[in-house]
Amino acid sequence: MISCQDFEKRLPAYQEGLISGQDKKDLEDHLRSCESCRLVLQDLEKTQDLLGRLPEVAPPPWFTRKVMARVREEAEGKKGLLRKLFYPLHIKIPLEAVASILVVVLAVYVFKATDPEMQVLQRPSESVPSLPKDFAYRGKGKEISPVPAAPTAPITPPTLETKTKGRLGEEQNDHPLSESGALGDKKTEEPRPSVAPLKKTESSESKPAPALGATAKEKDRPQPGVLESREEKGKSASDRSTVGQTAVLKSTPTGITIQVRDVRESVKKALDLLQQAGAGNIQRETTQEIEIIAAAVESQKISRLLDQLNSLGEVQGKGLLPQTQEEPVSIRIEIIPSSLDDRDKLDK
Amino acid sequence: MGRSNNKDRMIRSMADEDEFLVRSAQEGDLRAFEALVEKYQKKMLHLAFRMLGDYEEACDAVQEAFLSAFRAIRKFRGEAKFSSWLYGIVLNQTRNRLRQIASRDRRHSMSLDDPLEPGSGRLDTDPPSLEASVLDQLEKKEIEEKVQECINQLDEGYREVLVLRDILGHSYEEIQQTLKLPDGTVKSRLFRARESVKNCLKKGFGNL
Repeated sequence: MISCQDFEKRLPAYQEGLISGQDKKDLEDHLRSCESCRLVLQDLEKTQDLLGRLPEVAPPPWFTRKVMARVREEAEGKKGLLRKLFYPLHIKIPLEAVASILVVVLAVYVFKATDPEMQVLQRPSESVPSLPKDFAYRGKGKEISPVPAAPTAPITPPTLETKTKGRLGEEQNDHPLSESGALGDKKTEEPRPSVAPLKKTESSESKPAPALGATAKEKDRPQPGVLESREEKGKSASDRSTVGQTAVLKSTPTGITIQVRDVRESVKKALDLLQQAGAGNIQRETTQEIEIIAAAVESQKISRLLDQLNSLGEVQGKGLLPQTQEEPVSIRIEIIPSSLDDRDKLDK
Repeated sequence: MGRSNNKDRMIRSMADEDEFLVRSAQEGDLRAFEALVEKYQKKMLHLAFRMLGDYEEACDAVQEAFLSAFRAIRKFRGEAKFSSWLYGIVLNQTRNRLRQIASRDRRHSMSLDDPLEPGSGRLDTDPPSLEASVLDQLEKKEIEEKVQECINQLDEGYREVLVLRDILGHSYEEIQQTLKLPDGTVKSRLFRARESVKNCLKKGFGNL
């Protein structure tokens, strides 16, 4: 038995003509017998009638004009904005100039800021041989000591020098080896921490040949254990402190120093030994008291060569020679008289 | 049969006219847009006024709606009738305004579901008469006001369907297009809205 409440729920649909068939017949039968439901239906119809009779409201006078005034304002505003942005040869020329300058400045700044990272990325990574902890880097006449070291540490780090520009005289800059940084200063035997007092640095420099004269810039010349490279030029100090290490070693030959009693004799022997070891591109440079030999040696033969060089005198810097490299290694052998080194020692 | 054909032809010619005006307006012809404003302003105002129950608010809403329509007319692709698209814009405006009004008058808001507080509001100050029909005794304007009052008490979604169907006389299909609602939802909302208005009027008038 369907209740009045159920029938009432169907009345709106019935009113809309959405009920048909048996449902419609049942509902109409019920409406005939149920006055209450009939009243509900009448109220619904009356409500719908009242709603439908609600009159339209008239728009206020000049409504279209008001609307169109705003529409025109909008349309002109759009055109005006476009004109402001794109109209050529307007008063905004100075603005364009300022904007262009800003773009250029920003581009230069971005380039400068990203330059060191880009340089490092361009070089292939390579394993770095063990380095003394207390070496310093040298920029163009400027020393940066990123790793503080105990000044008293008596360790003997191998010497690694790569650049001679402005050190051995102008004529040496034209030497073929100078391109690869093969020419170097004389080496002192004793390693010196990068934070060593300036006074000692100066005294040690004054000893070697006059060519190493003590100008203000040369006070910064490398100390034993000091690693320098022309590539340091222009780099920021923070960059040099870490990333720069790998880059410097990769681009410069490895150097060793041999202290001998007789330089001339030892040079001949060393050249013989290099030839025996199958070294290529052997080049020799002579200064007043120092002999420098640069050559390319196969890495497998390096250890044997070093053993043989030991017979000439005390060899320093062996530790920096790469052990795992498969390609020929550029090495630079500096042969210095032991007396010269002794003078350095005494000076210190 | 003949009348039906005439009506179809009239609708088609109106649609063609709208299409022409809309295309011209899309190409930047302001006079074409003005013609559309002229043509639809009354219907739009009717919808806005019945939705908002306030003439000034309705005028502002319609003005903003026409401005929005002008800004967006290039995006109108003709998938629906232009009038349905325009009704949709007006309804968006009225929704925004209803929310603003509701937040402004939150303390005075009232829902059909809320019980009437004794002694508050006009419904209690004008108690139902026991006589046969009060409607005959009331002025036409008062009746309209009462009906509008009952519409105003409907929730937004129900109000939209009721106004579009029972006041503006739109077809279910048109309402679905305008509101983007399924047929079942439109009908169920309409029936509930009618029931609510009926109850509201009965509370106000007694027997209808």
